Amino acid sequence: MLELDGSLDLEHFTLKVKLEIKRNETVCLLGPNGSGKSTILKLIGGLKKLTSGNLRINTNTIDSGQTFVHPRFRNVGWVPQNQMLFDHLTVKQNIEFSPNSSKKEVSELIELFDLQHIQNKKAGNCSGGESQRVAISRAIASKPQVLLLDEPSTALDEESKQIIYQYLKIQKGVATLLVTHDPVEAASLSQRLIILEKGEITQVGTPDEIKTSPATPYSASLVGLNFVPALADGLVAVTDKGVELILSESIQGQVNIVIPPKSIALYKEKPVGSPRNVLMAKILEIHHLGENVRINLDGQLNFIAEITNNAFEVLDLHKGDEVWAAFKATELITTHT
Amino acid sequence: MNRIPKTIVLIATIAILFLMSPLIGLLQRMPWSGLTNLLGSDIILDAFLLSLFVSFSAALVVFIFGIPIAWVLARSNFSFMKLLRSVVLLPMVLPPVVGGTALLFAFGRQGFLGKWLNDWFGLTLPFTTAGSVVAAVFVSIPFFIVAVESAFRSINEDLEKTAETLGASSSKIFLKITLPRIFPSILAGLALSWARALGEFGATITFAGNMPGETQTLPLAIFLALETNPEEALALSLVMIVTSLAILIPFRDQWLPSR
Repeated sequence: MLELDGSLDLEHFTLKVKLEIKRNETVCLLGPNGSGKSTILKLIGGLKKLTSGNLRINTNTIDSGQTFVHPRFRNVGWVPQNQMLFDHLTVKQNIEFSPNSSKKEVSELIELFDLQHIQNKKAGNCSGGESQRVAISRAIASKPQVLLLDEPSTALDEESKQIIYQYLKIQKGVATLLVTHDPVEAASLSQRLIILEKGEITQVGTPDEIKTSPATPYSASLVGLNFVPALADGLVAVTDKGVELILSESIQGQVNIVIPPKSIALYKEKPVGSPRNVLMAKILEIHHLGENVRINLDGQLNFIAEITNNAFEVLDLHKGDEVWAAFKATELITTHT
Repeated sequence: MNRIPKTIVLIATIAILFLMSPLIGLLQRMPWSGLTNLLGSDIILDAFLLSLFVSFSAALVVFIFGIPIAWVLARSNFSFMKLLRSVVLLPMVLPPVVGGTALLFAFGRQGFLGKWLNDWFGLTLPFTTAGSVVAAVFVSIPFFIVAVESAFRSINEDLEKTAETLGASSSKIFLKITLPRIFPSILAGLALSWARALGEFGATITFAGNMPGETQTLPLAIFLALETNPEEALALSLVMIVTSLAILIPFRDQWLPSR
């Protein structure tokens, strides 16, 4: 079990983190670039020191004002983003590098991560996928209590990805913290996601909770939703850019409004009739996603609309076109902040 | 390979010819017929063996002391490190005669360290073979330090930190991770400083003198022979050139990154 409650002063902001990971649990840490995700791993691994607060592994304090346990004695397996393999050693020598490793476990790991055929290859000659599998095996061979994975699936081939995911799902006895920017990966590996923005945890929840009530624009963008903070007064809410949105239920105060992309309809001419929200916007990008087309719009609001291929063809839309976007008040999800 | 502009080729050719001309001059005047006799002479043999002994002893001392110095210079953040680096590298730019004079004031019989060495250990450095080694170490160690320090710097520290998180001791990390990675630079640094030690003249003649069999290394013997027996000087020069090339050619890839 890992408990971290502390802060670290960084150049542009202060990292403030409180998190807890139980044995046998995998927690995913998501956040935009530069939000401090990798730094949290370095704090736990002992590559950085807390400014205040404390860090415990299995109730032993390993970093606080008084104590600082050297990385060597922390039992934390750190898999850094660029793997940091010992290039001049073979794959096998890398995996058995830790003095805590045992011959039996090393050969089991080599088999588990499908590295038999390259075990005598110099680590410096491994492909990206092979390197990542070696790096993870090497960390696991050191018998850690806590496993830290920094963007393990970046630039990975599908086969390596499956091997690593498979392992993470069956592993026992370790508390795992995985940094990623891929929401699909996070949702498939973990029941608890932590969202980190500018050094602060902005949301903790299951993938489902984050999908239904994202706390910030970033959370919403992860699950492909449009997120608009606004000030509500009865049935009307005004965004910070002054756009008025009509709500279906009366509400007062600061709210977050989520607009599901599929609820947005696009028109070439301004639609008339039914009471709905209608905004003019310009098409920034068009992504074809099988049955649907995802359209990034820019105008009074930045948002994403998802329409069917059929509708897309009928409308004959192109990048740069100006369109009218309409969505019913009943489709909006409004939550108090 | 990209086509090299003609002007560049021309300038390079002139420079290469310039660098080779002394060698050509030497070979042209070489007394090839009497060479076997000359090379067999005691003076040349003694100077050759002494030069090998002094230069390799110096290289060994440089290796033992140079690695810790390079390590400290590369890894410490203290502000006085910059000053310390300049001091350590000073022998590189100092005229060797000045170095020899300074050594004499430090390690001479009346020098503040020499006096102490003499009184306590009965050890005398000036005008001894050991003194030649000291002079050679003094002038050649900066070449080793420069090469190895930059190698230490080029290692990503996260690599060593990863090894730490795996539970490895600092000595294991140094021997298994750091050292193998800087090994090519160590060889390059050793070759450079050995070559510098082999060619050492000024500090040696000032600090250790010019005694055949004891401190008269090849460069000193050449200097002396030039006045009395130019043919011998030429033969000695040839010995130096061949010795240097024999050691340096195998290492050429170490300081020139291979293509």
